[in-house]
Amino acid sequence: MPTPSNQAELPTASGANDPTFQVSPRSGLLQGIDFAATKTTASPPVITVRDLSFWYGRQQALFGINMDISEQSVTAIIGPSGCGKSTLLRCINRMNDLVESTRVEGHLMLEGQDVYGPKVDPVALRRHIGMVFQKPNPFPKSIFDNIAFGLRIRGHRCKQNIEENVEWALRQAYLWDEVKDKLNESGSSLSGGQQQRLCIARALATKPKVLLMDEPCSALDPIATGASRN
Amino acid sequence: MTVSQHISATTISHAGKQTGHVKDWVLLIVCLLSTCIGGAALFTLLGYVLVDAAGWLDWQFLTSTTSRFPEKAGIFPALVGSVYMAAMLLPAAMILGIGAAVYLTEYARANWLTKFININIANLAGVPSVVWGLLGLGLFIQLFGMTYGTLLVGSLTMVLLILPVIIIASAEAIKAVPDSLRQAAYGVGATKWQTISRVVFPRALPGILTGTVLSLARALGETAPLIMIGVPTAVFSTPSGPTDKFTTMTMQLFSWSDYPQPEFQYGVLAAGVVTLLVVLLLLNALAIYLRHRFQNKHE
Amino acid sequence: MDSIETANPLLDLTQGVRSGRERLARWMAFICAAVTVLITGGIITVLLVNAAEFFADWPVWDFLTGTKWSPAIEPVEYGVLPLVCGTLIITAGSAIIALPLGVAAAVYLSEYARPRVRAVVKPCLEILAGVPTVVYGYFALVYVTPGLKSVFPTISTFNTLSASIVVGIMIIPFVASISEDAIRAVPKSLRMAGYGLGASKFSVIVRIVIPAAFSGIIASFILALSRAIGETMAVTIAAGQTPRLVNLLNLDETFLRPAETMTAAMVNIGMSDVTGDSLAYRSLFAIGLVLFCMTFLMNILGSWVTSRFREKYE
Repeated sequence: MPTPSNQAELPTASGANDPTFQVSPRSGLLQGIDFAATKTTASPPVITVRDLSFWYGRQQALFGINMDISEQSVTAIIGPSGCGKSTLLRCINRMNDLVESTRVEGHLMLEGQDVYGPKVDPVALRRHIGMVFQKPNPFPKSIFDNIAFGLRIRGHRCKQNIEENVEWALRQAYLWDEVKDKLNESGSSLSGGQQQRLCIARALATKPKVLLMDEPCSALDPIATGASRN
Repeated sequence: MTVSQHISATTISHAGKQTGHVKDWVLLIVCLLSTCIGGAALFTLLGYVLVDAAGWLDWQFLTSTTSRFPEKAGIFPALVGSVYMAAMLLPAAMILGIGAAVYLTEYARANWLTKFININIANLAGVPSVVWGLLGLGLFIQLFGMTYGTLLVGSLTMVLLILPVIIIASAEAIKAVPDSLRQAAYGVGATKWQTISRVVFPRALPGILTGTVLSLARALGETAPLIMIGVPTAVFSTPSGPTDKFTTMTMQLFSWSDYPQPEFQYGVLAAGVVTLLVVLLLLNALAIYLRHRFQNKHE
Repeated sequence: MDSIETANPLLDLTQGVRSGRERLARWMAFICAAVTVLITGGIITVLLVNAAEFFADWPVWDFLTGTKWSPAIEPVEYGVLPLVCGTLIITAGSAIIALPLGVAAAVYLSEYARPRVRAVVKPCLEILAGVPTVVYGYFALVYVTPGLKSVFPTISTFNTLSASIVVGIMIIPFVASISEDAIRAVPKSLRMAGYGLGASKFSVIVRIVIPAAFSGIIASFILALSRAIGETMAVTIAAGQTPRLVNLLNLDETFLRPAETMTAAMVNIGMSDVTGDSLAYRSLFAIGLVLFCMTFLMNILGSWVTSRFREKYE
């Protein structure tokens, strides 16, 4: 897989890590298993999860997760449906805060800071993390405005700067050639696979430290999946 | 089949066997007629009024003031008064209404206070319009000391009257925005207000606008609250400021209905009714147009 | 925890992102919502305070049980019963028209009409409620009453029958819309069970669907009648200004003669030259209080029944 050259902040594809995961046969839930990398990682972990437990109301969804995620790597979390993969992802950028009556115990550290610390602003946290969802959810805006959204809410105003970033993001998502002539058309006018790549570009545009992708291809057909994988 | 099933099946099928088809048809016809009869009655009445208005609805009617003499009577000041009132009440009603709807859908936690506010608004929507007039009378005129029958008092009272309806319609429109869009916005790191103002609100706009325009039509059709706050039934000049007395088309029609002469009853009044209905029709058409235009923009 | 050493400076996660503006937005929105509570408080206060002043001069009991309403003509009396009677007559009359027609229309829309037909017919029904009430009053006076004269030659110019007819037409959409919601909420499985047992469409609708939707239909009745009670202009114009306590069993007296409703009485006081300190002025609020209580209770009842039938099937 091609490696984007000068994007130090992006998690890049590498063949380095091959963490071992186990899913408890009892309930199919991710349980307190230590995920250890089989190869020594070159860089220290960016995300550290220690004894993370999570509840939706009374229903416990995560049971003491421990995990390290390294910088500059692709980490895949695999398991049967309903075992808590999405929940874990959404804990990382505190999207679960948007659901009522949830509870978290344990620690989730991003670069040494507990994201659930008392002074942490979830919005500030999410500005360092990008997320791509299971089903494509482009904004009802033009393709350009979809990508520019993340930049604009951070206060970017320079038009040229925004245009450059939009083009860069679309190239990263392998969508530029297909949409460069119709940037002002609605994001919803694209096909499902293109929409998902649009959402990927939208997440990449702000150059986040971490990119979370929640089964991004599960709603797409195989050809679109192939294109997205790239 | 069990015994009871057998019995009930027999009963039902017996009822259905011979007379079943006839009864089915009768029910269908009864229901179809019932659906149409109200509309047919209204349609007939509208037909009558259009015919009666034929000779009377002309440019002179639209541009003159009222008069004792039917040939000279016109609806102009009332028309202008209605328009001014609508223009004055619109900003306040929209800001308050949409603001409240945004709070209730996006910010409010699901606690007793929120539930109370929601129930309260639903009840306010059912308060008779004449009682709103009493509120205007007791609050604005008695307590605040404003003058009877001015544009200011009229608009303020009408704002309160249509507020519940605007809130309900706007809340519906906002709730209809798919949650995936909010998730997308939060995922990119938007704050709550950024999400509301840049993603949710634009998407809910057609519904909100439609609800607003329809509320406006309702406000233009009201009479009783204006009577309560002392709006005169006839003014002879158009209002020039918010503290001027004014009248509306509905008030004018009400006052004309007191004149017994057939020229008024079947001529002037008919023309006035048609004018009012045309204005309302235009507003409703505007609502439909707005909904279509904004819906197709980025769908 | 291990401290992580990175080449980049530590991410700042504690900076509250535009928290000042966020809080302002939230507060502004809250104030808008709080205004609605203030409005209710205002209505209740205005009605209670002014009605209390009225009752200081004219006792509550005399008001509620008095059989003559005469605010302007000597001897001045403020008995609300004739007004309540007038309101009840017109409400009952409009109910006779609107309730059956509304339910039947709801049945048609939910059980028979194809979606495209429904998409056209439903808005048309809503139009009935969109016509200004003063226009309905005008229709009643100018077209319906003369029309009724050919059937009932003894009818007066102002009569409750024509008012009932137009108010009935006006509230059909209320009944139809809510009843239709209730009927559609009945699960398909119930209908299927009926057809499966060999029932005709008539039986399924009349014996299964409508009883199942019953509470919702009742809710629609309550809310529509609440609307009829609060109706003002149509009854003022069409039914006249003669407050009468009527022997309701005498149909001729009830429907062919004028009667004054609570709302019409309020309009008449409001139109006359009454100053802010007079008893007549304050009687406005006394009637208003009675009217508000009646409609408020009915609305609450209707909402409660509605929420119950919605819960049942969700």
